[in-house]
Amino acid sequence: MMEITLNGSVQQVRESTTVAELVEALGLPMRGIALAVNSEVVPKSSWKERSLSPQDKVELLTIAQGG
Amino acid sequence: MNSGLEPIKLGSVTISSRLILGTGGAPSNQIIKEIIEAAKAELVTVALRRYEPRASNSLYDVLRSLNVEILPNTAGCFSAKEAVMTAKMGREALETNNVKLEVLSSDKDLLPDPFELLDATEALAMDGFNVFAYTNDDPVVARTLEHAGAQVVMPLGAPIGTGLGIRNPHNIEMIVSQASVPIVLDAGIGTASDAALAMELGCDAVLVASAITRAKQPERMAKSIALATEAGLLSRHGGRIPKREWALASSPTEGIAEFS
Repeated sequence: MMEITLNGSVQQVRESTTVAELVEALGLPMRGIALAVNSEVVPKSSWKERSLSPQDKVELLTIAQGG
Repeated sequence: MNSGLEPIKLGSVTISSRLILGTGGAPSNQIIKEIIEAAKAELVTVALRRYEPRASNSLYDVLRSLNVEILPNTAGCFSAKEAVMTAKMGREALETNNVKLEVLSSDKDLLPDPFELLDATEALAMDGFNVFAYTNDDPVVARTLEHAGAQVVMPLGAPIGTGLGIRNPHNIEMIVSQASVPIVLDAGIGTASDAALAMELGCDAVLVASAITRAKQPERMAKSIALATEAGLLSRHGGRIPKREWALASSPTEGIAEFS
């Protein structure tokens, strides 16, 4: 296992977990969400290939009410 | 006859309704659905926030089911760097190059920071974004943003959430008169007459959130502001009479009876 930060909270995930696996485990629909690793947007097209490394900082955003 | 109600193009979106709805402040997704329908809105704004395991992502589904165009914003950003990053996240989440760019200077007044805003506008325009720049009611800043590549300029009437109306109508008129991109009055609208005034001053559309979402009866207020927006546009095209110092009779001055 390794440690990553997801939306500011530390999480344990299996080593070399991909972004796609991380999102899938949360049971999220693919649309209306976006993800960045270490302040770089990871396009959905590469979620399956992109593996996470220890201490990666992941931001996972959804749309919310806003003016 | 040109009614003035023809569609307008904002970024990559063409809309007929001149009222853009902000979803911020709504008590529920159900209310958002009701106000979109009442206003016949075609373009609505949303923010991007961290995924919360306990919250549902149903806002996206609600908006998609209503077939409205979704305009992501960068609300909550206080630097060009944060705003650029958030804009990229919005593009990824919603598959659109349109972004309502907000870069604010302080929590208290929520006024746009023109310097960071300009930097972010330049960067995003270079990166292929259609920037809708939320800005102050300063004609110099508005024109500078347009030159920097903003496709829509959105001056405020008053600070966000204040409902103070249009504090400087003359500035809004100046912004409109020099612009060659659409001008959308954003922030400050408190009630229907403010929206009508914005359109009479020559704005191409208005963006309203709090005045509707926080009204006692949001659905009724949505309809009211939508009608006022359309009325203001018709009034603008109708051409108001010049203001005069003294009265001018509207009834004929000839043929007046004489009674002794």
